[in-house]
Amino acid sequence: MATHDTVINKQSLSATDNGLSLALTVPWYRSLWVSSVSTVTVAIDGKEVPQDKLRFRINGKSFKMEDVPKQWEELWFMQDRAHLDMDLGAAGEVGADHEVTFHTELRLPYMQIKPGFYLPNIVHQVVHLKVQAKS
Amino acid sequence: MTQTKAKFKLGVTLYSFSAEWAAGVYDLDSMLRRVDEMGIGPGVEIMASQTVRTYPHTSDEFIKQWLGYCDKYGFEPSAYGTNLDMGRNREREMNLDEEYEFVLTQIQAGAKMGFKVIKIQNAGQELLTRLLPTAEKLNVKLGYEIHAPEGPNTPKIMAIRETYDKLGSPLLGFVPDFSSTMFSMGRTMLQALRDKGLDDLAIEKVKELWASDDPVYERINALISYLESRSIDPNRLGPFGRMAFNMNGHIAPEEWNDIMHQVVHIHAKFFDMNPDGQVDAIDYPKHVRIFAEGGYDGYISSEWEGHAFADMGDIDPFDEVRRQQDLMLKHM
Repeated sequence: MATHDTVINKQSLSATDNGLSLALTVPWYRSLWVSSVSTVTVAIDGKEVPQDKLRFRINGKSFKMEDVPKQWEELWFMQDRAHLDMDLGAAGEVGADHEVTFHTELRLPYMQIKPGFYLPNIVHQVVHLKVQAKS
Repeated sequence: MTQTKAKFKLGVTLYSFSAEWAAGVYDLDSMLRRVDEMGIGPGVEIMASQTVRTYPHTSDEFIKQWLGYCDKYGFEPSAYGTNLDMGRNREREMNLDEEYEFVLTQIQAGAKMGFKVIKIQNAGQELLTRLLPTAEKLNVKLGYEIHAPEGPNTPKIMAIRETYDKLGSPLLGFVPDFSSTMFSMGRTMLQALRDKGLDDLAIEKVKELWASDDPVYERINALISYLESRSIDPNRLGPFGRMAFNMNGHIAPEEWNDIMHQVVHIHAKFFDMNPDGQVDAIDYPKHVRIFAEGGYDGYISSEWEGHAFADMGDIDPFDEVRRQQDLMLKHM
């Protein structure tokens, strides 16, 4: 995995009181505004988590997915992890193995192709992860 | 043959260590310590959007820390990379006032951090006209990077050269990146394309398109048509189709002479070292000779971009830069 497609690693999945959380590295070589995140979808063991059960957490704030593209003053610093919190209706089980299908599309806010259009970066990963203890 | 003694100094951009930075293997202090231990320098270049947590602004605390590190390790600030995030607000793009403010704050920070060259991402005439008084006051040069697929004489760069002529300031210049002037596609790029499923025949087609002067989007479209005609799904390539043409250029290195008087900083781009100590796909002895003979007296910043292809940990970028600088030193 290189700088433009590294987003999840072996330690990324952790348990929460109501589900799981995925720690995300910016899949680009610089920090980006949270508004650069166009879409995020995630499936656990092949089952897609509904968008209204996801929250995007960063800089001590937690955003509804529909509000993520509006956060143009919130920086996703390259060394910080954003957390995708998944409400699965039950506490995550530490040590369990899951297949995680993760897809995101970014809009690079400084790489304008023409007014209103920006270079995208699309990352799609299917990984098997062991649930880590609550972080 | 007598060799012109080079007046330029070597350095490195911390962008070379992007993967390790993103992974949190290093903080700024320990990364600079590693650079120092490897004897790399004396110039150090950073990208504001990569290194500075409060980007685009910079805190006094960070500036103090940075100057302390430079002092501790004996580094010289070489170039400060700025970005212009004109699309950060999806509702509307920045207006000129906002663009000016966004770049201005980065220029001011760069100057406080001791940089004499600020890399700029937009060289529009109106924006530069507004920024120049500050650059003059702070005595910093503004450099626009010339990167593949552009070269000193491609239409996009010719337009900027015309703008520079109109504005007539000695503080406006260029930052050549050796990606523009490669003699072949890089080995790591070709391997990435093979890994994505291209066979020998398709690789030959990519090489043929690489050598063309057509705009990148036309070459990408031609590649897509070709792959479809062979029932190979172009989506398999991901971003690598585009990267093949805008990370590897094929302009003659001699063309750098056409803008030599405006070169304010240089990116010595490379992706991979050969076992014999040469750089894959880029003629380093020739590049060093051109800038030495041209009298260039700024920094040449090593920029290892193998992290676009390699898994972190497979290659030690610090070691790559060390070997690349040894090669340049041999020819200086």
